[in-house]
Amino acid sequence: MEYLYCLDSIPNLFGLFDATVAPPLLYYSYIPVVIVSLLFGILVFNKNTRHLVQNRIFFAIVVSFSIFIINEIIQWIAVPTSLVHFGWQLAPLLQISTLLFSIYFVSVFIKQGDISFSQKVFLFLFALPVLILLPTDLNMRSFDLINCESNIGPLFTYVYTLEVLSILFILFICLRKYLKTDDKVLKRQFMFITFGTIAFISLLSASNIFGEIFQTYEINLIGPMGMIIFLGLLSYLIVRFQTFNIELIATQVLVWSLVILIGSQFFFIKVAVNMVLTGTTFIATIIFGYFLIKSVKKEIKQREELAKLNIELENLIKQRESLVHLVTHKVKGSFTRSKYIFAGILDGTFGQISEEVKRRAEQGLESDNMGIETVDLVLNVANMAKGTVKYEMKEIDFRDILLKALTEKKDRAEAKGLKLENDIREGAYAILGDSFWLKEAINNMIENSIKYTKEGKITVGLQKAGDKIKLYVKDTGIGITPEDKKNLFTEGGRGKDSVKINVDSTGYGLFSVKLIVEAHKGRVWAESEGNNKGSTFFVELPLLSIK
Amino acid sequence: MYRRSKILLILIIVITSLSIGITFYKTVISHDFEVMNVEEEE
Repeated sequence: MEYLYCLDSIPNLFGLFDATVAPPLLYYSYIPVVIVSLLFGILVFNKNTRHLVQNRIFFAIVVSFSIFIINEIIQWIAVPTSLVHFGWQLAPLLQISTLLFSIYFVSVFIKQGDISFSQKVFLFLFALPVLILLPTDLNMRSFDLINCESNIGPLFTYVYTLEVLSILFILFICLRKYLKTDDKVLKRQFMFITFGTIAFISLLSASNIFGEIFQTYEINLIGPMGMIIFLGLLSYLIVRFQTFNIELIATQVLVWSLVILIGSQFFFIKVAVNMVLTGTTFIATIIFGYFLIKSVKKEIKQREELAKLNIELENLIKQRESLVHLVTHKVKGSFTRSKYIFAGILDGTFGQISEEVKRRAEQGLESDNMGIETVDLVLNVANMAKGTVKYEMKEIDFRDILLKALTEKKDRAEAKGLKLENDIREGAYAILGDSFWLKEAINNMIENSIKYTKEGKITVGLQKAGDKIKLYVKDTGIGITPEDKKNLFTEGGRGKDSVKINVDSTGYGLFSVKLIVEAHKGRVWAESEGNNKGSTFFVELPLLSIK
Repeated sequence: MYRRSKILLILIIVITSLSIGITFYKTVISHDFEVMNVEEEE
């Protein structure tokens, strides 16, 4: 057979192609889209270790689509009729594979896993007629030399019908899943994937169908734009709902897309000045892109390290919490057992005892009681910090609780030679709170002042201040330096010289006050004029509003 | 399941390669297709 060439073209590229016959838009719309898609597909395929099946199918879509586009370019620019005709013959296969991979992709996305074997066979069966009829006249009837295009056969009708039906099918499965799902995040994901895939297939199919109907193949140039919408929505999906190194993928795609888009302008530039300007922009974009990618990589690495450290820290905190619980329970058990032994000695269970033994047993009992109080304090603080303490909030009179606490602590203060004064104003101090824990907080505040006051007095006052109540515990003790003030209400926070005055200082007393008060929407603070000038501790709590 | 999918994939690759191969041979090598409007070239 005679070797024929298309009439309107001259083979000036590798003896097979004429790059000048195609409209410039072809290069601008097809080549960048193909490169960006392939780049995106490869990056997702390599970098995103989650959803392996999904990644593979996405990669298959991108490859199939890219071959389809390259084939379109060949159809536009090839000169030998046999090559152009072969390009036309391949078109239905490439269209149907892109289409079926898209359906497969949506199905996997909706199912959140691979589809069954029978479903795969079912999908393949739709491609089978195209595969079998590809070399026959039912695909391409003949070749029109004047127009340099093939005359399509009935197989194209099958492909176009399938394209329309596929769009309806994707809409149907996505809508069904959308209505069945309650999860708002999933619903949004379905919406994006449906819109993206349909935009992709619709634009591709519509441009092919209308190009064929109107015999104006420039319409086909719009087709690949759907891929950009698809890729854009897919990128958003990945960035929004998955996190694996995806900023890097997004940055790389963005940078390289820019480079490709700028680079593709070289096809049209005719003026030397423009060539220089575009060249400078091109190089600047590459340099900028390189540093951008590098900085994103660095940031991701730092974030990953931080996340790793965070996990380690969380584990350490958990370990410490369980250790605190274990130790405190064991210690409390030992204190309690020894407390009952001392109590037994004192109440005569073990017979008559001498005065010396009695004195020692009393000391032992007191020491055990203090030990138990300390353990309880540490345990309570640990539970409060962990959030496992449940406050039973009800309407209570804060004044009643304060008076009770004051009575309980009176003996303790007097035993130390301190005067405990009452400056509690008359009135109703109704607040919403847990009386047990608030009393615990008051006790800790008074106890703190007793411990850090060698001589003088402690004044406990209560008054209303607007829609709040204000409690204060004022002592004539060692005072607080501005330096110590910062650590006063922190976990384990103690004054620099506090251990010299109070050897049993745990640093948990005032911290527990803070936690309790804050749980009651109040605030706590301390004031002091400095060393040996006494201190005043304040607590402010909201009054219960009467409606 | 995985094995059956793999066999299906191999089958698809074989059929596709055969189909493309035959088409390529018929069209590009043998030029076995009808060309219309050849007369108007002359």
